[in-house]
Amino acid sequence: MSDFSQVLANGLIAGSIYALIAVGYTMVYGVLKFINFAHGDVAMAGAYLAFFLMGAGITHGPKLVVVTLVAAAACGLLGVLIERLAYRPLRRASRLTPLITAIGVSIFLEAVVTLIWGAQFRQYPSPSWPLIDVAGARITAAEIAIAVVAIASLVALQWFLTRTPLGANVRAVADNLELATSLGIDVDGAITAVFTVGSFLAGIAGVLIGMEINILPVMGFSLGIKAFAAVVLGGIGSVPGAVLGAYLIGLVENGAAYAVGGVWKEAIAYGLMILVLLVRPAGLLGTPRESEAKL
Amino acid sequence: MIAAISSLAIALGLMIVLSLSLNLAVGHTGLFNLGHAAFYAIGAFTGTLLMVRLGCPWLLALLAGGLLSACFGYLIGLLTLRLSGDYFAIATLGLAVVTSSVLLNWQSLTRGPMGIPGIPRPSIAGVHVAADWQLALLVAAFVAVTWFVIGRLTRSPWGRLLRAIRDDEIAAQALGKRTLTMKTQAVALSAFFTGCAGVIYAGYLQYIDPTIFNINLTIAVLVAVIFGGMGNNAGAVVGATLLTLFQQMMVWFNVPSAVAGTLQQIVYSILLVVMMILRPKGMVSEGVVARAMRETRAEG
Repeated sequence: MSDFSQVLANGLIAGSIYALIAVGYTMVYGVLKFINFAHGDVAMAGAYLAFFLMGAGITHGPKLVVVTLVAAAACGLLGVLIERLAYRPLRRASRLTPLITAIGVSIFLEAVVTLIWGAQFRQYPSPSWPLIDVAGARITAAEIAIAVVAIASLVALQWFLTRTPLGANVRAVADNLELATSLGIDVDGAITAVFTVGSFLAGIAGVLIGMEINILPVMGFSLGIKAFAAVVLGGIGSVPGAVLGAYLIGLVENGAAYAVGGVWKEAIAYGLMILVLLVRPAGLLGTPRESEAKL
Repeated sequence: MIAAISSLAIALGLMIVLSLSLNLAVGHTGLFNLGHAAFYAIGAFTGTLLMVRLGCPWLLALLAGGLLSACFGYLIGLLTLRLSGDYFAIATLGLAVVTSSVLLNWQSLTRGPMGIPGIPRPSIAGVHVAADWQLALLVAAFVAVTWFVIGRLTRSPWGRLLRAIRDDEIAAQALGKRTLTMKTQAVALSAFFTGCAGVIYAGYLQYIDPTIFNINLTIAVLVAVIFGGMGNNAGAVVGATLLTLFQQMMVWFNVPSAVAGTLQQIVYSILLVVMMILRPKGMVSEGVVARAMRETRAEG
C-alpha cells in the first residue's frame, strides 16, 4: 500500500513539473502550428539561471520565491527573444522549416549552458527538507511546494486564457490565425504573450526540477520530449489536455519505473507517446481536425 | 600520414553515405526522420553480434545489418507514415530514444554501456581488409555503390514520384499513386544503406557501444543534408564533406574533445537557424541541379 502511495506521489510530482512545460508547448502549437522543440531547453536554462542566482547563498524562504520569479521572468524574455529572432521570419514557411529552426535553437541553448556551467551535474545548495508522511508516501516539503506551485500556476494560466482580453486574443489566434488577423486582432501581440507566458512557466518548472534532482545541460532534450509526449497524449493544441497528459506521463513513468526498473523510464514514456500517435493521433482531449491537417 | 588520410577518408565516406541516405528520406521524400542514428546503430549491432558471437563472415554480416535495418525502417514506416510531417519527426525521434534505451539496457545481448570490443576487420572472400588504407578503399567502393544506386533511383520515375509526394501528397494520391507504399520504400532503402554503413563503421572502430549512436549524430547528418541542399544528392555530398572537414579541424587544431563537442553544437545550431531564414533550400539547391541536368540533356 505504501509502495502504491509512493509511486502515486512521485508520479504526481513529476506530472506537475511536466504540466508546466507541456502547457507552453501546446500553446505554441496552438497559435503557430509547429513543434517548439526548444521549449524543454528553456526550462533547462531556467534551472541554471536559478542555480546562478542561488550562488549568493539563497536556499529557502521568501528570497527563494524571488529567485524563482526572476529566473522565470528571464526565461519569459528568452522565449520572446527566440520567437523574434528565429521563428518570426519563418511565419509563412512550411511547417518543417520552423521545426528545423527549433532544433537548432535547442542545441544552441544546450551548448551555451554547457559552455558557461560545464557538462557535469550541478546541485542546488538546498537544505535537507524534512520528510512528511502523506498516506504512506514519504515526501519532502519541497515536493509539496512543487505540486502547489505547479497547480497554482496552471490555475493562473487558465484564468489568463479565459478571463482576460489578451487571453481571448490568444484563443482567437489559436482558433484561426487568418480570421483573427482580418478581425484586427493583434496577432503578434498574442504570439508574444504565448511565448512570454509559456517560457515563464517553463522557467518555473526548471527551478522546481532543480529543487528535486541534479541539473544537467542535456536534460532540456528529455524534458522537451516528455512534455511533448504529454501534449500528444492529451491532444495537441489543448491546454487542459496537456495538463492531463503530463500527469498521465508522470504516473505511467513512475509506475513503470517501480514495476520494471528506472532505466526503462524514458523508453516507456516515449513508447506511450508513439502508441497514442498511432492509435489516436488527436490525443485524449484533442479535436481530430487539427492533428490531421497536412503540411 | 597515410593513416591520417585513411581515417579521414573513412570518416568522410561514411558521412557521405549517411547523408545520401538521409537525404533520400528528408530531401527527396520530405520525411523528416529524426531517428537516423537508430538505423546506423541497428546495422552496427546486428553485424557486430553476427560476427563476434556467431563468427559469421563479414559480407553476410554486412547484408544482414543492412537488411535488418531496412526491415526496421519498413516497420517504422508502416507504423508512423500515416502521421503528417512534424508528427512523423517526433515519432521517429521517440523511436530512436527507445532503440538506444533497448540497446543500452539489454545487457545480455549488447553488454550495454560496456560496449562490444574486438570486432574483426572486414574480410571478403579470404582477403583480409586489415589496414586503414585498405578499409578506406572499401569505404570508397561502398560510397560509389551508394551514390550510383541512390542517384539512379532518385532520377528514375520512382524518385520523381517521391518528390511529387513531398510537394503535394494529395495530388499524388489523386493520380492513383500509392503514396504510403512509396514512402515506406524510401525509408526502408534509406535504412538499408545506413545499416550497411553501420556494419562498416563497427569494423573500422573495432568497438561499439550504444552511446555512439546518439541524437547528436542524427543532427550532424541533418546539418550536412540541410546545408548541402535538401533533395539533391550532390548537395548532400558537399554538405557531408564540409561537415567532416569541420569536425577534422577540431582535431588538427588540438581542440580538447569536451570543448570540441560544444563548439560543434554551436556551429551546427547557428547554421540550422541561419540557413532556414536565409537559404532554406541549402547551398546547392535542388533547382540549380535540376536546371543543370535539363541543360546537359538538351545539349546531349
